[in-house]
Amino acid sequence: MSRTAAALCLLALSGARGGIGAAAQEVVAEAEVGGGRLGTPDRDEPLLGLVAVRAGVAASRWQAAAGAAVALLESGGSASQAAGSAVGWMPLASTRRFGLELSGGAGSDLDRTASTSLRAALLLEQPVGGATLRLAASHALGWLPEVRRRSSGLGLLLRLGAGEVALDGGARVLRYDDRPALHPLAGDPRWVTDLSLGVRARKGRGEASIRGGWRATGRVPTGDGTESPLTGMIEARWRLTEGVALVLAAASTPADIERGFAPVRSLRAGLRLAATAGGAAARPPTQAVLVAKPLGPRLWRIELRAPHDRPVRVRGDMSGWRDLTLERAGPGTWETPAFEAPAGIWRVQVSIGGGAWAPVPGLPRGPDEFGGEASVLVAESGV
Amino acid sequence: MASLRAAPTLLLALAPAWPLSAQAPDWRAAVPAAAVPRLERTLAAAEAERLPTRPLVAKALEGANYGAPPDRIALAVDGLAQRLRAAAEALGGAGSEAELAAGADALAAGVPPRVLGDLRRARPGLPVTVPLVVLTDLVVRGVPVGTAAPAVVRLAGRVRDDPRLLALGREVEGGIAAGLPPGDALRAELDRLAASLPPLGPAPFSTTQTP
Repeated sequence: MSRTAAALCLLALSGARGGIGAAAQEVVAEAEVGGGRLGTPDRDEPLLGLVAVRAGVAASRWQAAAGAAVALLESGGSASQAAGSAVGWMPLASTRRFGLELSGGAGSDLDRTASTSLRAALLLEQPVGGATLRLAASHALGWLPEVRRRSSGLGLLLRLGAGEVALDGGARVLRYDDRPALHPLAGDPRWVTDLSLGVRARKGRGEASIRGGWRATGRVPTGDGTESPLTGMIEARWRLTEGVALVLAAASTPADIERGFAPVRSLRAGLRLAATAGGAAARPPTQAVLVAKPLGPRLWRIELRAPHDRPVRVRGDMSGWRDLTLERAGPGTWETPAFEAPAGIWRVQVSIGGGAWAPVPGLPRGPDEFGGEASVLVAESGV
Repeated sequence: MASLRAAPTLLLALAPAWPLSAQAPDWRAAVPAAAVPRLERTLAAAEAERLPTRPLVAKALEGANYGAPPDRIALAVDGLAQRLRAAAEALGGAGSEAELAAGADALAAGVPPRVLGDLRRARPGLPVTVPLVVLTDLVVRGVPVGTAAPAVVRLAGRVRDDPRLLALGREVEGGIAAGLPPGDALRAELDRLAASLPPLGPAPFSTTQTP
């Protein structure tokens, strides 16, 4: 494995550790071990083993992800890939957002040719009906053996998720040119068009995904072999226990032009271990206006945030449906006297300024059997 | 006879909450007298089955508070007892009082019993109270159960943070208030939530190439 790939492996792992301790972030990490075969259009070799790690961390305005994989060949050689990216997001409207993504990759393929790349992309995400549309404009620099590559791309991805089935389709046009390291002039620009379509389905413990792609340019940009214009991937996962899944996958990967990775055919079988840490919201949840504050194992106080001076009353399961009057506790804050009740879920109503009893905005609703709408307050004892 | 034997226990176990300064009220004094015998039978039967009885008392008091006639109160409490029984079965025979009450509410809203089992399996070792409350909320607000149930089951397995799940309901409420059909409001929020979840790095030697 190249030094750069090793450094990115360490970066991926240290990034995951850094995220776990942060309260406003969430981390997902996967590690996979397996075996199978790895092949390019010219070579095909069985694997002694494959080790891969992937991790991602997200906060409200940014995301980062990194992954690395090392394949050990029976012939004694190895192939490796590593890549990482970070995206910063800026909301443009309630449903639209703009992002800047920076990414890098490094790897060595079966022929021990090493490559390194840097990429920047501008992203725009916009809901369209029930789907999400992502537009991307990217520019990348790659350092391949004896060649420096520049590439620019425009792409779109449409993602549609409906329950346990998700569909996505994408298209991308990429223009690139290779400039010999010791030659001042760039080579002729070349164009590649990629189309892809994927579907993912889940049922019970199983998950399967299949993806097909078509590349308009059939020449391999590195190496001498000829790449098929058709590519595809099929993967099946079966969750054995929480966080442990059996994985079977086969893929024919097109050349990654921006990163300089050669096309690869792989067959993998292994175990995937996943862990999620950091329970806080990636986006801070909106606050409820009515909350149950635990004061003791069965002792509570209800707090209401309301910016007015009118008297407030609350009633519900926790009071045997008798009124509890809230007193002003501070600017915009009202609270009940302490009362005893078991933790659980309470159906509640509120009356402000002597008005009608009504459900509380921002709280979940429950089924109504008596003609009066009520909210549901989740009272969890933290004491 | 069974109800008479059970009565002292019920008086201790079923009393709802009250302010510290107040005297504990007897629920029988708060509901129409004509409903009490039938309610006592329902409560005794529930207790014999080790079902939580506090939600049943709370339901009776809620009905009395609305001025519902005795038959309607008794019918509502009977229905809740049946749903608590069905929820306990659907959740695998075990569940906290809050989980069973939330499950019973979900069934009342039209959620199929198998979804309760799906949620339990999606969250091994964690309570399913909040996912059930959120699912019920979505269905009550008009999101088709066929859309809401798979979404909440999947989120419950991925999002372990209860406030975040509760926030989902609030965001959908906001979307509906802004004029979106309930199903679209949920889908829009799920898209935003999915986008905010951590991405995974590139798959090893596979075809993950997004624009």
